[in-house]
Amino acid sequence: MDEELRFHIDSYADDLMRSGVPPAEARRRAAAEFGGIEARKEDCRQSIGLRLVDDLCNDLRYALRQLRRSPGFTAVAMISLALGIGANTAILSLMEAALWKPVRVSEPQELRLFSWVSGPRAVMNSSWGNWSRSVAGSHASTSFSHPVFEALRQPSPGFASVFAFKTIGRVTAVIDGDAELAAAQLVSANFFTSLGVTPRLGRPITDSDDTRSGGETVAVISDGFWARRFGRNPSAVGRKIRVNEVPVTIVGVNAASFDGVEPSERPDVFMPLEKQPLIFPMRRGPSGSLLDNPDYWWLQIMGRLKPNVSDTSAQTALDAALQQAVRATLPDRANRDQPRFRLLAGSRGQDNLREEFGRPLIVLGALVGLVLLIACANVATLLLARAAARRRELGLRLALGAGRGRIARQLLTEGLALGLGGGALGLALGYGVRDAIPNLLVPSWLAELQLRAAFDLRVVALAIAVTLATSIGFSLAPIWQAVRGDVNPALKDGGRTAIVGYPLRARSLVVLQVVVSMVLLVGAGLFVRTLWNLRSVDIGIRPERIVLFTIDPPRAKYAGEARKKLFAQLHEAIAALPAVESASLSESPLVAGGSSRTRVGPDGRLPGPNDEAWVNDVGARFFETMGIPIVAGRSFDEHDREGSPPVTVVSERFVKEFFAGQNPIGRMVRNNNILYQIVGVCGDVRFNRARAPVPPLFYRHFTQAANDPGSLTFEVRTAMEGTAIVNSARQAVRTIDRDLPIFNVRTQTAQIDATIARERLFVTLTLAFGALALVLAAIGIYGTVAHSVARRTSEIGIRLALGADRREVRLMVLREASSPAALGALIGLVTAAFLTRYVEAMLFGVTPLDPFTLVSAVGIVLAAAILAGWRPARRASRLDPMMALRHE
Amino acid sequence: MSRQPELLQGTLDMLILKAVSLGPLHGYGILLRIQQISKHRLGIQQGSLYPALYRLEHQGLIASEWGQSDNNRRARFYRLTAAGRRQLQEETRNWHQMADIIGGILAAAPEEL
Repeated sequence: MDEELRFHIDSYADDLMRSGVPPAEARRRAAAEFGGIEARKEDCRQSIGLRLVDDLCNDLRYALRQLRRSPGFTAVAMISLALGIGANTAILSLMEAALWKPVRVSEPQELRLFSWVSGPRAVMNSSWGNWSRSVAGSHASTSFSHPVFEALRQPSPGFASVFAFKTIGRVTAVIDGDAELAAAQLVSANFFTSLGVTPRLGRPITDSDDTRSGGETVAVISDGFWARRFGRNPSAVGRKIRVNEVPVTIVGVNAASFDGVEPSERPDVFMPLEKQPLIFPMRRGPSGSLLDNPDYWWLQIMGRLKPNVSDTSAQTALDAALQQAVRATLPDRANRDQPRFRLLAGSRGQDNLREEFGRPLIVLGALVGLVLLIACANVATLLLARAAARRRELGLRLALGAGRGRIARQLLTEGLALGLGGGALGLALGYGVRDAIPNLLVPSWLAELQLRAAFDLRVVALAIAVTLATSIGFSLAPIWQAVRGDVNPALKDGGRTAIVGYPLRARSLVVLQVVVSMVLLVGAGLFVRTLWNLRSVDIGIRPERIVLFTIDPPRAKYAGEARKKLFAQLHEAIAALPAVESASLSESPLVAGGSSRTRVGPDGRLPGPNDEAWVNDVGARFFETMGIPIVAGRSFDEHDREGSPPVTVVSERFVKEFFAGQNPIGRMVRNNNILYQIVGVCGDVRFNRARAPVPPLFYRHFTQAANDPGSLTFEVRTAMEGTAIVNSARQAVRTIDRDLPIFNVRTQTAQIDATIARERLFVTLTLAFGALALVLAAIGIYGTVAHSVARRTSEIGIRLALGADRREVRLMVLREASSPAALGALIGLVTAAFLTRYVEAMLFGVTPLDPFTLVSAVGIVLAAAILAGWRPARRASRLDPMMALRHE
Repeated sequence: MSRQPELLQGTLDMLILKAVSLGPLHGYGILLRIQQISKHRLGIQQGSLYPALYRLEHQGLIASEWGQSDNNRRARFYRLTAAGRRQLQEETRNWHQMADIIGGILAAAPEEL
């Protein structure tokens, strides 16, 4: 454009010269008549609509220059924004993974999860899987027996297909002679086809693979397992490995995005359901097969609904089918409560994550939302202060003819520049810590319960949206004020006095910040007291220096007697190690969040529907190792084994509930049709977590239980530090069986801590956020009070000259500092009192309206306000009246 | 020059199109040509020429390309496009129509009412 316009001027000058004008004069006239090149260029650009872009670029450059000029302000604003936006992004991505993301299959919204509900006297005797019990006693579960599955999968009018799956936990996989543990899932033949999932390599499991007898056992492995164990070598397809001693051929590798239909699990190996008796025999009936067992309910079933079929009609049809199937497979249980079918949404499959993490994540989400609010209020306050200082400049612009829209656009650009800067930082922060929160929520040794944050485009888009919204939000206040301003006063007084409106707006923002701080502090106080209570509660064991690890011998190799003998052997070997004070084993480790129950009949009678106790199968010297006192009788010892008279040790609570507190030694208890004699009474233990009430406990020796032991956890009390003893334990185990791995190594204290991991996380977060909010509110208070003192300098000077006490002046300023804080504290108190009821379920030993916590929070806030106002107050009281009066 | 009649808004575009229709020209040339064919009774404000040219090009009525001027300097030449030709015809027609109507109104004598 330059060249063209210059050509024009030169040509005109040439013409003038030709008509006789002297050269210098000609050039001058040509340039003058044409007008400024830059001005003409602007006109041209405006005519084709580029003016807007030019303006924006200018605004942006100006905004950046402003930000660079006050680095302190910029730093504080950007950091608080980054924290708010980053924390929000991290939590939102977690919530996406844990609550909203559907499983990665085709058309997940067509999937339905099968479940049932029944009255208290459930029709089956044993089950494995999700089970919930209401206060009224009714049961609900997603587990079905295999015969029922066969009946339900008969062509059903509502469903295009019905398939089943079960995560069976860890199996021993031997690849090229190296044994390791892999997570396995059994699936029915139509699993892959129903889900519309094709493996990226090889083929899926098909009908011909899912046969009970004959044929080889095939498996499809996950992408993660393929990367880890086979280095993504395509030769993995067709490789023969051993799973739990069974030869298995790998026929396919799944795509990286597919991890089954149970969001909390990441199976490494998928194998056909019908091969269960081979791979994972469980003696719950006459044989190790669960396929023909109508009394063991263990399978999860899902179906793909046909289009145009309503849920209600499908549910009715399946309910009828279920009733029929149960009557056919368990004919002699007609007197119990028959299960009724219930269809659940299946887009997230068997969703254990939502139950586990749903509420804590929502609370966390609310917390970080509050932090973002504080950050925005803080930035708005600071921007307001700056806009007040720029009144003169803006007034000048308005007077020179700038449109109000133009001014508003510039202020908006400045706000956006700040907001986007903070947002970019926040996004980076959110990415960096996205795994920190899941790691804090889930114990590190439980690799199975995975909660990975999804950090994809949706999250980024969400972060950008949040950033834009907050930027516009906190720019509104300065814009509103600047645009409304009257031009004359702005120009006249040189911009040193403040507008009437500013302190009010700034004050309300400060009050908002104080309110949020109060809510966070009250929450922090409640969580701190909860944690304290949880830590000091008496669990009933002595957890120091106990190391835990789990051993799960493959069932194909060790079953029945051999299994029990192996464990006894392992127990002996480990107890014999030097540096081991005492060792034992148990089915359920203590204070680990898990439990099993069983039906007991006191004095040998048949168990009634309410005769239920918690059960733990343990080895000899269990109580000594765990530090549980034996109150009466004896503990299990070497004489108790398979073949000797069945004995039991019960807890004090058990005695209270079932024997009315009388001495039960020598009396019998019927369990699973075996008569156990009570030989000892032990102290109460808070079995699965510190906050749960004390249950009645029924201990059996693991060799005398009706069923084979599954995986047993060893407890080793040692003089050594940490988990160092595990190395020698591994050696001892290896001498007995080379291929037997030890896993889930942790200390008892770490395990107990893990059950309160959530509470600890919340304490950390609420304290951190509460402190941040308080600091920001204090900065706000300091800013407004300092400004106010500066504004009222002459007034204060007059007061001092007229004889006011310096102390009075100081008190006056302090009162000004604490009044927004007091107002904020009051409003915050009411708000906190209203909100804390939502976290009542997470508290322990403290009520949501705990007066001590509320009062302390108010005290802290007021103290912070007074501290913030101290310096301006001192400065005001130290004013020299003469200087103040001359101050214009 | 004697006092020039004021240029109606919007007619500048039409004049440029006409000037360019007689052959490709650079900006200064268009200015001269308009002066020329109006027999020096009309001059264009230098400031409004180039914005109008850019606007017309943005609308696709004229097209530009760099070329050599008579004194061998680089200049941007504008020529009429097919759309521009159609636009020129239409505007010419509108102008004559409007001139007719206005002329008729202004020529109305009192006794014709």
